[in-house]
Amino acid sequence: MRGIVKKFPTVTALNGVDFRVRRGEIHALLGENGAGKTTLMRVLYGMYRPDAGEIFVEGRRVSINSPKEALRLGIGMVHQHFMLVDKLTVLENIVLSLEGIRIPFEEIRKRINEFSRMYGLKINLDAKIWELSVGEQQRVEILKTLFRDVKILILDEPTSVLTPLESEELFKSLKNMVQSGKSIILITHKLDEALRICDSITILRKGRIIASEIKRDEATKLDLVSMMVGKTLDFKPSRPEKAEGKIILEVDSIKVLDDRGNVAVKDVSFVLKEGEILGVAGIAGNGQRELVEALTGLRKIEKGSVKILGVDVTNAPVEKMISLGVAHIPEDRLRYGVALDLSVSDNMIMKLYQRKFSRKVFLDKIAVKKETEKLIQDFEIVTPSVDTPVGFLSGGNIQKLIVARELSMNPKILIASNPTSGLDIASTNYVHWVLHRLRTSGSSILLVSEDLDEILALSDRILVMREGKMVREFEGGASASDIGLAMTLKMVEPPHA
Amino acid sequence: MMHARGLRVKLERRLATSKTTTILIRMLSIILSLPLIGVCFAFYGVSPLDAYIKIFSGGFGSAHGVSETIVKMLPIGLCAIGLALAYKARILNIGAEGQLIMGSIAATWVALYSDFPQNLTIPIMFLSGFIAGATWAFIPALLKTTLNVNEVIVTLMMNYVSLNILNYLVTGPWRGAAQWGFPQTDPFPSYARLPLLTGTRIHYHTLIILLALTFLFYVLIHSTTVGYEIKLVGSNPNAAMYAGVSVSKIILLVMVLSGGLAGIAGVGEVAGVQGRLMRGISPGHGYTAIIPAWLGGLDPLATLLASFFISGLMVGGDRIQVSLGLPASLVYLFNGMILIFFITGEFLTKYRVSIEMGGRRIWI
Repeated sequence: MRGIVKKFPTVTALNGVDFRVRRGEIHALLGENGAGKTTLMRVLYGMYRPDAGEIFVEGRRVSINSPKEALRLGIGMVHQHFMLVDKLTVLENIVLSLEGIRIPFEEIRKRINEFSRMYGLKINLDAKIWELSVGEQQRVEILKTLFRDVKILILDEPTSVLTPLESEELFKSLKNMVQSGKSIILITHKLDEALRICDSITILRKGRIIASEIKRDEATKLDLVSMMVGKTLDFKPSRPEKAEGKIILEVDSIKVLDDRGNVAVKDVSFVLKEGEILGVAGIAGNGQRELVEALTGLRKIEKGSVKILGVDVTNAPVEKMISLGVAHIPEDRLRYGVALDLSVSDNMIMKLYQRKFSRKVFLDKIAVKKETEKLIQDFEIVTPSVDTPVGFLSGGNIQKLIVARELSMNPKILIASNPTSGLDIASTNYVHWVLHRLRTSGSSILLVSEDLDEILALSDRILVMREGKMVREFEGGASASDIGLAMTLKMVEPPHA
Repeated sequence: MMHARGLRVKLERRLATSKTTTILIRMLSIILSLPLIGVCFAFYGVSPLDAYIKIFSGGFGSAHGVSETIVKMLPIGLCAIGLALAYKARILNIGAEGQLIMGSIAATWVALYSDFPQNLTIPIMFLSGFIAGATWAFIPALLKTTLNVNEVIVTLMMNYVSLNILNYLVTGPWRGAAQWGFPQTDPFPSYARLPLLTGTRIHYHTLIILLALTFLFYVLIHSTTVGYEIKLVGSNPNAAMYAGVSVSKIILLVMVLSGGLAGIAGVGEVAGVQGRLMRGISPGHGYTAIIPAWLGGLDPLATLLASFFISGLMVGGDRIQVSLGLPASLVYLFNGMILIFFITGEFLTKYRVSIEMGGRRIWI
């Protein structure tokens, strides 16, 4: 790709980008959120038409106007959000993707099984999509492109939805694919990933190429970070000192059900002390979500009790928890965290409109505007104005808004669930710094995260949650491998047909 | 890169939509519906242009026309601003018709069958109308908040229940002694009649209530914490829960207010226009009101203006029925057409369309 320019109504997403991929390599396209990685690949996949620039495939200049044409040229893409029909089987979804190319079912079945064996992509062809884990759904997406005989496979942040174990399996399959002569472009903002499995790395920042085709062995982590971010990082969390404060939150053998009525949290007890960060590590889906929702008043506690400063708040309404100073950064930010068609300022006051911004029955709009503008500045939230609907903001900025709002409560307890998921390095560092500062000021934080590095960097104590139980407790300085073991022990991959 | 030959149509999400664009798109979509309905007029052998002129001059062209438009606007506007409030919380109340009927029944009971002091009769009629409409809306709201029953179906079905109650009353126990078998009650005593503006049929008490409530609802939505909660529930009920808002309370509140306003509309119809309760007391005002609620973008002031506009069309429609011999249902067709075009137009406030032809690009 040469000199690619793509302009959107308000921004220039790509500004003269050159990009090259060789046959038989895994190529990382590295960059922060909004650097233009996905846009560049969508141009290659025919979803966007560039305003300038040329594309060559195997030396031949081509014009790609639709994904259909891209596929014909042997270019396939697996998006961050899968395009699968839930109620149909794997096989049916693959047939659908053929867009009218008629091949007998049995033939398809045979060829897919061949691919599965060849690349290690195990899948049950007759399972319905909704029955599959996210990792398996991704395999279906990859198989769809393989079936079209792609030579270049683009994967957009493939590991963001996977457990560490699933990621490993994916990497193995990718290695198999490049060995058979395919090229893979991996869009990612995870450095370690790029360094571990990619043969070469291209870095994008703000729509420009910063460095291209760095060989893996020539790259160091620090160099890459400074190239991605544009400045070296100044925040390193200090080693946590041991907190010996009084008990703020006391959870006593609670039991919580999930949406389907199965027990998700079994007999969980722990205490959170003043001025400490208590990390809850664990692989997603082991009851963390239900635990957090129960502690914030959003989900019913079936058994056991929760006390804040000795006061019983078991099954207290959300409103009560807020007034006791419990802030909550939710895991699913679009489901709970924001109202997309309301303005930035409307979203900023969600927790405090009753307490801070009401004059009798009226809303103090001047105070709301002032506070919102202050928080936008403090947290460097990028938005055209305080009146812009939140739906127009990028994911990273929405998360910053949520963090800003929750901290503006001056919380006694912050329950943070994956507070940096999907954030770029600079924003992640910022959130970590803010959490650290909050702790220093005497608040307590329950940090529930799938990112073990995050937990290790910040926590004073670490609990490991597995299958709805707290299985072990570690001190802050514990080794990652010990914790990792506790997280995964006894976790057996469900057998595939 | 090469340009594709032929026509390419692409959609891009608008990053922000200015107020002027929104208003222009809404006006345009209404104007664009005119030629289509014109085809229907042409089928009846009437010049569409002639029909438009007659419709608009009928509703807006004379002092008498405007006054009749206001008479129609009273029930439609009251129902519409109530509905707009419920829709703001994404509670789809389709039951204004039934709530209006229940209000008119309650007012009739006060006027004909109760012993309140005469000078208090009118205020009590309005109050009981409000309560009756509110109660009628409270039932589906309660079913929704406790059992999660879809409010669209319940409110709609309850319209038929109330219609049958009305028909039972006016053909049975409440049929007037001196009505020669017509399905209607005896006329209300004069102290239970709303005075009219001289020379018109405008019952100005109801007009004052409508204007005051429009203003109050405007303040409620835009400047109060409860209004904020309503918007939050409408935009994302999960987020509202997370913010500590009692979603059930908000649902009950908007439904009670919405039903109450429809009930007041019913009082105006029996005490102001007809002077009695009768079969067909509402020619579908509760349904018609759905149109201006959306046309007004669920904003109380804009909804009131849209109600005036739609009411004018209805009056004009009555006019062409007489002068051009056209069926009045053509006007309902007209209204429906406007709503369909309007909803389609709303799409353009969220997306912009680019059409490329031979290398040239046109933005819409």
